[in-house]
Parts: sequence; structure tokens; C-alpha cells
Amino acid sequence: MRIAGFMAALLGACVLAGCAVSTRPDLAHRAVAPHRTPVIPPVGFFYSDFKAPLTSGPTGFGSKKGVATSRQIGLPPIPVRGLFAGLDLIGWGDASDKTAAKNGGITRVEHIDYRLEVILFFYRRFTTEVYGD
Amino acid sequence: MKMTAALVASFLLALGAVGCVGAPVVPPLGVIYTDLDAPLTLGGGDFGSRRGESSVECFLGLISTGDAGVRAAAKNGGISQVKRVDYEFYNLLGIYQRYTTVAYGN
Repeated sequence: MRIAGFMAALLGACVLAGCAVSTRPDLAHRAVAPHRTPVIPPVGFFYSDFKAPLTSGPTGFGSKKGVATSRQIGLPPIPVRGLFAGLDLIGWGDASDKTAAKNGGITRVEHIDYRLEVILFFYRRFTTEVYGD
Repeated sequence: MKMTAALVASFLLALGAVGCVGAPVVPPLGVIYTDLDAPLTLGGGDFGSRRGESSVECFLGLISTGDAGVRAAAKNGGISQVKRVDYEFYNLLGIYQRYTTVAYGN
């Protein structure tokens, strides 16, 4: 019983310890939205729809905006050995800044934000938003 | 039994998300309470005369919404030329978390 308690505490500590790093490879984030960006606000376990910066240097915004989107479908975290952190099945789309700029008729990119939508682990949509002229 | 295990696993994952934020610079966070500011822009530079904020709010670690883009922060502060960007992170027991992008400029 003591060993079980110790193991639970250790697991909890490991999960929490993953938080204090830049790209959040902690288990919870991996299950909810395994994206890697410089800035990751708190992700909701059931539903997320937020925007955050991709670039954070000195910048203007120009007069145009272009977006490009990629999508992913995966499985929720399943408490089975090997599948615990969820399973990413299909990812498709072009969320590159080049495509976003092209879609917005932008030749000079000034700033980039991103938008992330996550619905119950299953569906994730990542949108790159480019600002410029 | 399997349902209980699934619920426990989900709870553990939700608990793991509490108090978490990702950024180039992340000071030590508190799981119970956090209220901190840290830089997003690294390197030298001035701040300009204006300040604008934009936020993402997360409730119970379950639902997360908002626009914390630099564009939104600049718009809220009436800034056309951003000089520097910081962020603020607030967490109270994982019940309420708020990430705020702070833009400085003219």
C-alpha cells in the first residue's frame, strides 16, 4: 500500500515537473494538444479555442492578413499500456507562413500569431495568421 | 472498474495541466497560486509609450478560450508599432488560469 502511494506521488510529480519547460512535453499537454510553439497558454482539457503569438519581436502589422490551416484527428488518451498519451492518427493541411502570406496577398510578413482549436482530443485545428503588406 | 480507471487517468491528466504555461522564459510556477510576469521578447530595446493586453482564460483546466495574440494586444493598446512583448500568467488552484500577452510600443 505504501509502495502504491509512493508510486502515485512519483507519477504526479513527474507529470507536474514537465510543466516548467518551454515546449511543454508534459503528459497532459501531450494528450490534449501536442503542438510545439514558443508560447502555449493553458490548454483546456475538453475544449480550447485561443490565439497566441508565434513571433514576439519588435513588429508592425501592415495592412493585410493571411491564414493557413492544418488539421489533425487523433484518439483520446486511453488507459492502456502504450496508448496512455493518446494516439495521433491523421494530420493534414498546410499551415506554413508562406501559404498564409500567399492566401493574404502578402509579400512582406511583419508578424505571425496562431490559433488553436481542440475539441475533446479528437479534432485539432491549427491556423497560422500572418500580418504584413 | 475500467471506467473508474479511465476517470482516474483523465483526472490525473487534467491535474497535470494545472499551472502550466509554455514560453521561451518560464519562471518557477506554483500549482496552488501563481501570479508572474516574464519576457517574451529577448534582447535589447525600448518600450515606447503605450501598453496593450490580450488574454486567454482557462476554467477548471477544462475550457480555454480567448485571443492572446500580439495583434490583439496591440489593437487593445492602440499600438501600431510594437517594441517589446511580455506575458503575465495567473493561476489559482487550477480553477482559474489566465495567460496575458502584454505589448509595448507606439
